[in-house]
Amino acid sequence: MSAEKFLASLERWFQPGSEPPEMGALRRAALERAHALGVPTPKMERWRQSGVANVFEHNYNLPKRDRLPMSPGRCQLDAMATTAMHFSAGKIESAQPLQRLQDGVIAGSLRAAMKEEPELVQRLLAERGLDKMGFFNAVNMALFTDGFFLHVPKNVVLARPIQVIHVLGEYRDALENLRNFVVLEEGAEATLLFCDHSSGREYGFASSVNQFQIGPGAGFKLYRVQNLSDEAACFHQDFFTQQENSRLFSHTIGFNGGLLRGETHVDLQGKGADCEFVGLSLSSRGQRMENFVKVEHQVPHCTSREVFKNIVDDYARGLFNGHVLVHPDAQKTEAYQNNSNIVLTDKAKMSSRPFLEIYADDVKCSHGSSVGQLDDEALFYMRQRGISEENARLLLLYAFAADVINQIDIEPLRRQLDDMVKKRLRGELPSCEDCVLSCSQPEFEVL
Amino acid sequence: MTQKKNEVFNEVTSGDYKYGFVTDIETEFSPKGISEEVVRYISAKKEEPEWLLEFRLKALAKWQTMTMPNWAHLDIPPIDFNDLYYYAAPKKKKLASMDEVDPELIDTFNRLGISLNEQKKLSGVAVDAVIDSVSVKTTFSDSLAELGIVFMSFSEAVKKHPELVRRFVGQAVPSGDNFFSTLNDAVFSDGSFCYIPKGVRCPMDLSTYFRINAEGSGQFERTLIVADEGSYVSYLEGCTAPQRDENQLHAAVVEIILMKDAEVKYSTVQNWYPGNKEGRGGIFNFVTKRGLCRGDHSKLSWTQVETGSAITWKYPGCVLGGDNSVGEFYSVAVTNNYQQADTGSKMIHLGKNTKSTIISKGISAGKSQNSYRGLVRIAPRATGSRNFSQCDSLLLSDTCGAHTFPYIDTANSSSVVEHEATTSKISEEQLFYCQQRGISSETAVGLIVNGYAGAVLKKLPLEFAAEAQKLLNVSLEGSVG
Amino acid sequence: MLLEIKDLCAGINGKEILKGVNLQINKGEVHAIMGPNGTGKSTLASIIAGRPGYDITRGDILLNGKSLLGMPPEQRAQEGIFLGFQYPVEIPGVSMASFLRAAINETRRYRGQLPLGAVAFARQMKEKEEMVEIKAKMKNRSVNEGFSGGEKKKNEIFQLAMLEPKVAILDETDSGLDIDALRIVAGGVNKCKTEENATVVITHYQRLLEYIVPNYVHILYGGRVVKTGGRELSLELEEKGYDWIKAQVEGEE
Repeated sequence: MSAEKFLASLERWFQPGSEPPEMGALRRAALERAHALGVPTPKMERWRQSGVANVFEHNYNLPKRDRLPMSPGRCQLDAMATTAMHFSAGKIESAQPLQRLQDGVIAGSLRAAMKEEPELVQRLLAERGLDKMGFFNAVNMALFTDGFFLHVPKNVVLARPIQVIHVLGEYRDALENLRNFVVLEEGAEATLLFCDHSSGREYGFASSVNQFQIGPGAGFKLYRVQNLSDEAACFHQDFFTQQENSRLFSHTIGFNGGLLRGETHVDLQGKGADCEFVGLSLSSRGQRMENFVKVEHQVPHCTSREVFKNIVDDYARGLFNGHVLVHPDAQKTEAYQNNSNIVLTDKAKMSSRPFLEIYADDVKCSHGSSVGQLDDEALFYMRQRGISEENARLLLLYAFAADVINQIDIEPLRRQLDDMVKKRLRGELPSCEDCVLSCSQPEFEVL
Repeated sequence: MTQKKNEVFNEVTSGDYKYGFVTDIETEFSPKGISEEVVRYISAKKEEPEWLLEFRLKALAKWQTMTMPNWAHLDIPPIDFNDLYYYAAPKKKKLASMDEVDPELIDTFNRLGISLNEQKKLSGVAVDAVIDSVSVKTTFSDSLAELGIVFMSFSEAVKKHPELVRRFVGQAVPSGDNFFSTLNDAVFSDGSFCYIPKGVRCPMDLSTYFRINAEGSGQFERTLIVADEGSYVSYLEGCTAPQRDENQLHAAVVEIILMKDAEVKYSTVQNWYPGNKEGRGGIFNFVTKRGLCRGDHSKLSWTQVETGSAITWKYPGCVLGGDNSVGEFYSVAVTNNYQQADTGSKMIHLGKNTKSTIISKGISAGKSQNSYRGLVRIAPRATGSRNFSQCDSLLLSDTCGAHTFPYIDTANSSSVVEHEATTSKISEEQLFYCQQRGISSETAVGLIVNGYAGAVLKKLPLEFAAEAQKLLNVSLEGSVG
Repeated sequence: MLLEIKDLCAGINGKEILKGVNLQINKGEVHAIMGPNGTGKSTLASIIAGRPGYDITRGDILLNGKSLLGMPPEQRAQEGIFLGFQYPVEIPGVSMASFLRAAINETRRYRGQLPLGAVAFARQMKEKEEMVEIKAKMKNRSVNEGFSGGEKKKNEIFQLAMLEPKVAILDETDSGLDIDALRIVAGGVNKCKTEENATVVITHYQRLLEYIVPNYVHILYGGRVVKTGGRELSLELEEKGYDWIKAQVEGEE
């Protein structure tokens, strides 16, 4: 397949079905937008060094309804009282697609929410103007089949984190588009855990677009764990809007995947908003992991911090593309951006582009990027105590990663991810064949 | 010396443009616009050999297929490349001897603080003075020749040392490298050529002084420096232009080739006319500068103080081909009023154990936009390589912009790349401290900015600080203490 | 003989630092190596431990008659060389517990012993803490991270106690210690001494030698051992400084 074929197929894939006419119109307009933009290529500044071209090399199948549902509970996070929701083959797996939780909290299928809360959903969908949509966002708008929907009313604190598990279908050349919406009203608080997996060894492409509205004084934590097969491609685009004094913490770990690309856009719209992004990508073999983060400081007195780490092994490729944009009136901005990377072989590649674009003078902005080896002095110190070079390296790699893991404040999740990182570094964590989150924990002398 | 540098810097950052005068001399122009005819005209004027004409024509054909790059953080008004003169030269007056220079031009350079008289000249610096498209005089050429050093205008070198020019031209900046360098390939006029033979340490700093004078013209000079095995040279470059309401184009190419164990220091004080306070006029400075460290253990150091030009697009780079070769880039870029600068460096590591350092200090004021853009690339076979980059930006107003765009690509496991950057305004703590000791806020800002840029300023050769100061003080005689 | 250094010549980046060092160290002995700054004391310690980057141009280092020169640093450690670092490195993210367990168990494996289980490890730790009177900072602390200068040095001695080497080389272990810390550190070193092992103390000052009493004092100058004596040599140095040694050596040349 080629870019032209992909574009041509969009028409065939486009099946608005029995939705309200406004929805159909919105999808149609998005489709036109995708055609107008054309497919992204690595020649475009935003996509330089990206492995995006491969996405257009496949002859996709849309999710089919007659697929067997994933057995529920496979990705249950042990000992963690989460409310779990499962999505596979592009739709929710649940007898009760939309749940009313505590204090008026609505959570579940977007498709169900479109029926039960049409005004709210319609407003959200139309929120981000079409003119700003990138190619994959527009395609997603035209084709999305379902998604996760969460609405937390004013001053409600969600008692349990919600775990949203998405498993890319087992059929060949799957193309799945999900659209997720999270709205936290003023003073609300919620924690969400997104798990992206693939079930088979076939190529598939999962694309999700996620819109998060974080109201005044609201607090939101988003964890994301990605562990897909080397054949799978998974793009996610997060759009956050933050109102005054809201807090956001976003934490992403990429364990495996043929091509994992995360795009994050944050609009700090209210004074005193604070956001923090932490990411870890562990790539090996021919995997490609890409992170694109754009933080826009629109108003004064906001703070942002980004720390992204990559360990790139074998002939894998890592890419970090960070962009802090401080608008003219956003005085008293504090922005920090850091990208640290370790390249383990002479065939692996890492590209880092930490950009600062600043139009206000009373700001404190800094960034750092490093690509390098493990600390020689630390290596020697450990070897002097009798630790083999291989194990000393492993310990240092683990330490490099643990710094990210230790920022997880859900203890059972931290423990499990900690264990997964150890396995990943020892080469014992292949992509998710079954459920990655219920791996056993064998004893090991170093890690 | 530090004190002198401070003064220089203050002049640069705060003063009015002092070199805006026009020399009233008769000028000979090529036909307007760019075409094969114009390229042939330039080549004929310079009595060039066939191979050079072919080089130009090939570049022209390539350039005609290219589009102007738009990736820089610059707002460039459309340029009509057919509405300017690609060749402008002062008409030769009938003079007593061939070596004699039009007194009008001598006077012009005197006003710029550049003496073309070797006896009166500051010792230790040889100058090639270029006005518009031609070199008018190269000093100390003969005494340098005794050491085997070739230092003359590019046009003269094409005649006297064709084999050297032909061998090295296009090595660091290959034909068709980018839009502006390709334009230069086609229409380049004059510039300097310099060859330092094996094992020779050039006893004096070499310098080229560029002056745009003619109206409606652009300047497309080309400089080629070849440092043979174990040689050393320190090279200086200065430039000014008259004050005009129109924008003038300057698209230069500088190529430096370094053999084994050679060392070159290239320093620039770029002071083209920046335009007026409302952003009218000024030079568009689109320059390609690149050094090729071909030999092992060679070292190239770029130092630039960029204060002029309406728009600057410039990324002096080092291709570190030889094992253990070293590249350095030290830059202070000041933008004020409506100036725009997108400048930085490229460090391409190809050889083993190569090292590079980038220190960039951006200072933006007024409504200007000042961007650092830099590429550090470590190739798979460049094992054991290192880069350190520090790119700081200082904001002096709330209407300007300061941006940092680093590109870092690493493709081996034994290299270390570190990049750091900060953006901030002048510390109020520091300002208050100075004021409390009785220093006016204006002086205090000057002091702090100087301190901020100090790490780069101290990389300038001593002679150049004095030279630069003279350049800057032309019209201020007696008024600066 | 436990450790023998024979005519050791070595340097770094083409610069020769050691120019024929000879030392013989027997079981149960304490040796002090003294000398002015920049004479190669730390280089000697680093080379014995196998720090990468040095070129050995001549000579040999033998532990129990076995040459160390071809061995990687971890093997030398496993053979029984312990280097107390002048500046112990901070290793963020690597916990003291996993670090020390890895060190002990890899060494045990090398010696054909079974790994120490969690309980036995905890027991040994407690024993050693009591022995050297240094409380290990293990709980959730990364190796040396955020330790004060004194804590780092105490941590070195604690590790010395845990690892039970044959030869302990302590590189400027007294630098930056106040008198109380010095007493604790020296006390710990003394408790680790047995009839089977040896201690090499590298120091500038005689002060440490009041606590760790040497059998032999060697003066390293210009990359060679220029004088060897008993404890009294260190007292003489304290009194006269190094200038007389310099004068003596230069006089001979």
